Amino acid sequence: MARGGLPGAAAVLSSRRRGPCAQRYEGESFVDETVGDRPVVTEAKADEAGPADALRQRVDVALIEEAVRGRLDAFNELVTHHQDHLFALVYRLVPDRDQAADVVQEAFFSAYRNLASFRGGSVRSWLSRIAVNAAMDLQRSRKRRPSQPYPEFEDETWQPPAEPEAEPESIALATERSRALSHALDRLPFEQRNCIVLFDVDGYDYPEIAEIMHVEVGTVKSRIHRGRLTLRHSLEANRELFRG
Amino acid sequence: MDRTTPTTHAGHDQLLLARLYGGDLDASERDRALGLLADCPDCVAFFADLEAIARATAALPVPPRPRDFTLTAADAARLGARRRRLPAFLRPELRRSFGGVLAALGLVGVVLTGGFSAFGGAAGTTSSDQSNRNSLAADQAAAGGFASLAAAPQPAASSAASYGGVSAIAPAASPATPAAASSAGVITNDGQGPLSPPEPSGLKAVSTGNPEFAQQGGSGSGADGHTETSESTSPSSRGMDARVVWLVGFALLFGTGLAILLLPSLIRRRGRGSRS
Repeated sequence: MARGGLPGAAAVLSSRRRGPCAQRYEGESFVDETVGDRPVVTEAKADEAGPADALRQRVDVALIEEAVRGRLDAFNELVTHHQDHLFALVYRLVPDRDQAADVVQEAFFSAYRNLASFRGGSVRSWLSRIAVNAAMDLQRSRKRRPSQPYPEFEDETWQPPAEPEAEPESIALATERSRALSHALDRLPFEQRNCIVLFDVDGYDYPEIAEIMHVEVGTVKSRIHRGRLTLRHSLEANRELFRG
Repeated sequence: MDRTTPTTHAGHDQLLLARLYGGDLDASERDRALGLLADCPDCVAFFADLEAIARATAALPVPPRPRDFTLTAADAARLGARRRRLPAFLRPELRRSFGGVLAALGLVGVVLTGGFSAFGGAAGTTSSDQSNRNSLAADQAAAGGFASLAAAPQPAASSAASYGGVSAIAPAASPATPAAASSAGVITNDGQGPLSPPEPSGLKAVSTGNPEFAQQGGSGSGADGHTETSESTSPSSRGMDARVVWLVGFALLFGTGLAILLLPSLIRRRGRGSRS
């Protein structure tokens, strides 16, 4: 399904992209088409039942059942499998490495405390919901007591990884683009930001996001669409960074 | 939404384009949006920007995970102990069911008990008033010396009236509050108090045998003052008392169920508020 630039605009309507959540999650998306030099990601829901996903889901549920019976190693296996995804998700909601780590740890604590409340379905979604709720708690507190946004991008000790063969110029461009986008995201109301991240990055659809955020589907749609417009407006001065 | 954010460009609806990108348009809106993209180069550029921004958002780098999040045995013991401290029925998985059942039982009990008292009890008061009071008088006659207790005016009539559903005790209540008695559904003969039953001779004997009572009765506590004592002794009053006890019990059950259902979320919400 084409999705890129105007030629593929109509295809967007029927394509629900599951974006690469992070570099480490590109494996959950399928790149099957190219428009120009850009890979086009078609719909490939991570939770949708491919054989591997279905197997993973069964394993997760079995691990939860074992953990409910008191087996800590079963729960830790669950943690090992999902911690990268949860950290990548939370880091985009709370872009501070230490705070994101605390949120993820608290989410796993909460999951362990409430193992018996798992009602079936996707373990990944269940854990994501817990993590997003924990992140929103932190966001509310940050809203009251604003701190320096995006310390990671002000911190020169960590820079986004670049392709080994990338040109220095393209590395600088990518870094600058990420910095600008991150600042623009941080200026969004966190409700809009969370919805956009869950939709564009983590690949949840509208009803799933509504369930995670405890709001109506229409509210989710509105937050995403209006958030996009606000982002575009915030990045007006940096448009060229995104048009390369 | 930020009010400064433009949602139109040259009269073109940018929100429509954002919704197009999100796949959130019906057929007619989609045609309109595609028409914009076919005719307006600025709209094309705008749509391309939306797409590029979404793509860049998905590709935002994530730093390496700073630590491993697996739980230690100490963590598990601490969290498990916190979970075990709760009684089984208060654990999250059972709390809702348990609280819901309690609240439902309590509500049903309140409705049944209150409804029975309000309709059955009140109806009984008006239709069989005379026989009730006859029986009260007979009880009192049997009680004899209890009549002296009638000297103390009692607020029972007003409280009975306020209960409504337990107004059946009103005939036995103080005639010093005739208005309350009549408002409680008690038929009065002259507005001065409940209808006076034909006084059994035994009662007269009590009255005459107790000068103090007679004096107080004559000084304005009412000719029916003697009926006040029957409240705690008559079978119908005892039945009504039991109904009140049941009513209160069911109300407590309902309240407990609601508390089990709602308190944890309220506490959690308050906790969030205080943390923020």
